[in-house]
Amino acid sequence: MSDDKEKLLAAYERRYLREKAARDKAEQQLEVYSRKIYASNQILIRHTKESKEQQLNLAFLSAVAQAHINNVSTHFLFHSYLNSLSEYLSEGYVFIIETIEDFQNTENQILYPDDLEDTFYEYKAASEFLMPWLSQNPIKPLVTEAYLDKELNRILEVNQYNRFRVFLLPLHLTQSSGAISGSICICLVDSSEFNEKIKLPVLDSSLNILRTGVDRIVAENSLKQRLAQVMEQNEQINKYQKQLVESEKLASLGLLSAGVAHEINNPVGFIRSNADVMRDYVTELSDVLLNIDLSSKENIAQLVDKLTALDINFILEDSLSILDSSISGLDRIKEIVADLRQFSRMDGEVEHHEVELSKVLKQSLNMLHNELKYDYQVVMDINSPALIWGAEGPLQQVFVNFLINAKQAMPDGGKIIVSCKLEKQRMVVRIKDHGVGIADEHLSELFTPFFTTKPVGQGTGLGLSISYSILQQHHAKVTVDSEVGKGTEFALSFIPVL
Amino acid sequence: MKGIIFRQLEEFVTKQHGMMAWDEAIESCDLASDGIYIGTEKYDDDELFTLVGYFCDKLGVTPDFLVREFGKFVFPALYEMGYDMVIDAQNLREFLLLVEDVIHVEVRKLHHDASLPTFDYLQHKTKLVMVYRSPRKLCHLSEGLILGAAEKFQQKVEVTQPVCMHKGDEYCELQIEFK
Repeated sequence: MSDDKEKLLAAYERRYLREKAARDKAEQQLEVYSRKIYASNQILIRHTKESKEQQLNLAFLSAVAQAHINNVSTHFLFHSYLNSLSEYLSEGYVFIIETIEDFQNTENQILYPDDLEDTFYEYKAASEFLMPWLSQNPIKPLVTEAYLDKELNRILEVNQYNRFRVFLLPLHLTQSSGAISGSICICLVDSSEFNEKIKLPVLDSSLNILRTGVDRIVAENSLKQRLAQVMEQNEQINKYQKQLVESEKLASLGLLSAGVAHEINNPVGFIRSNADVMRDYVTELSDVLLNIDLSSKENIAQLVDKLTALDINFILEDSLSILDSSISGLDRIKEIVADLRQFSRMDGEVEHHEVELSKVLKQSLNMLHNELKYDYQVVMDINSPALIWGAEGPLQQVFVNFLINAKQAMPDGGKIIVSCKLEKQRMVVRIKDHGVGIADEHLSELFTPFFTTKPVGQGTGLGLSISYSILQQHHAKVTVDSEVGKGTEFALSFIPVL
Repeated sequence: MKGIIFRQLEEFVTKQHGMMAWDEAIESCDLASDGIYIGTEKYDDDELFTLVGYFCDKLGVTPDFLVREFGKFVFPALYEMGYDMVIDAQNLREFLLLVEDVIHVEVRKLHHDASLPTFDYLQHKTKLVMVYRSPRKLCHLSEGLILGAAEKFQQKVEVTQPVCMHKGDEYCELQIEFK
């Protein structure tokens, strides 16, 4: 064999050995890979199983939490919890022993999941079998095992060596939940699928959610009751408020009635005397006209003489002026009566409409005309139109009240300034007196019901508090500027209708 | 360096210079692996540099030239292995743009210990710049692979490196001019 061939052979041999070594290594590597793949597969299977379990756990917990949103009574909440639980623990029997206590005895009631159908007898048998010793200790968590009796074996279709695993989880509801107590009872005939380490904490969490739900419902129900009570009280208060407004109105009316009567009496008086004068005129004229025969010419001359003697021109002139004065007197009475009616309207006028403030202010002053006419000077500085949204009657009541207060602050008479102007986008009514003023310590109590500084029998103490509530209904702001000995100014600012 | 590259190098040498040339190289170089290579295993980078150095001496060529030629040679085999990943690439430019975000990602899935270079792209109308970064400084292998790819896509190109780590730069710029 030549050298070249030997060399080639040697090279092939070395190549063969390298290839073989590479193949051995590759096979070893393959084994390592296979083992790794097997191990990862196992891990994957375990993780898949765990994540499925976690998914079930989450589905169960979210179903329990979801039930809170929809349920309004604890009884329904228990039921919906039980249904979720029975779906979650499909391998066991679950029910709730609800303990109802009253002062005489304790009664246990068993709640079963809905839709048991065929399996109801099994549930019933299982719960009745366990009942006697489950009810012995309903407040402590319990995990125990029990051999089944023959009858139960037959019903549950399991062999005689089977044992029940029993989990008793007390509801532990807080005190606020009242008399509800009891336990969730879980009975497993075959517990091989029940992973205690995972499922017991999940059950614990679910019970916490359930407790929160029960607390929420109890709290909500008591809140609803409180709300109903408050609304009822509110209604009552509104009713009283209305009554107060009416009585205050009547009180002011009483105060005003003497003045108003006088106001009416005045025109009635002069209309009455006007009528007397007219009667005299008519009598005198009838004497002349009825006792004369107008068919002869001499008589006509005689009539003219007689009429001239009566001063017929004066009579006719005076009659017209008497009638004019009577009409204006009657108009005055009509006006006073209309204002009074407006003021005393008993139907509790609440509907708001466009109101001309200057008109209401004038009506209010009319009501008080008699009170103010001798010793008081009323200065009016009223810009019209002064339109706001409101109700005339109540507003008149407010102004009358403030005007009476102004008058009472100056028992010996004085000047009252009433103005109504647009100031900074608000319609502001100011009523100013130069009276005694309000002491600082009384300012904070001005609008407090029944607060008064007037002697007993002279003021109800309700005037300003009622005025304040009326002004609130008009979204008006009230400010007081007062100095003892110098006087008081009330400013009522309304939202104008632009 | 992955065993597949050594296997391909063996193939390259054997095809061009015969089995004896490879055998002699293995016998002459003191290699930790004794020249026993499995495609999926990782071997010391130095083994590749030793072999390249040996062949450069033996054939009287520069390492740049040898590595570039090897790149051209090895491309078809690598393309065959990764064909599924780049099935959408219609031309060379599209193919090269897939290297960083598709091919290298897929390679890492299979060989999580692979040390791959990174590429940044600068696109121009008639050229593409691939910015190469790798501590191995095997930019010429990339050049060869690009040339191999150009042949595969039947695209005439000129590849230059105005910026190169072998000239002291921090990275390499592979400029591919499309003709």
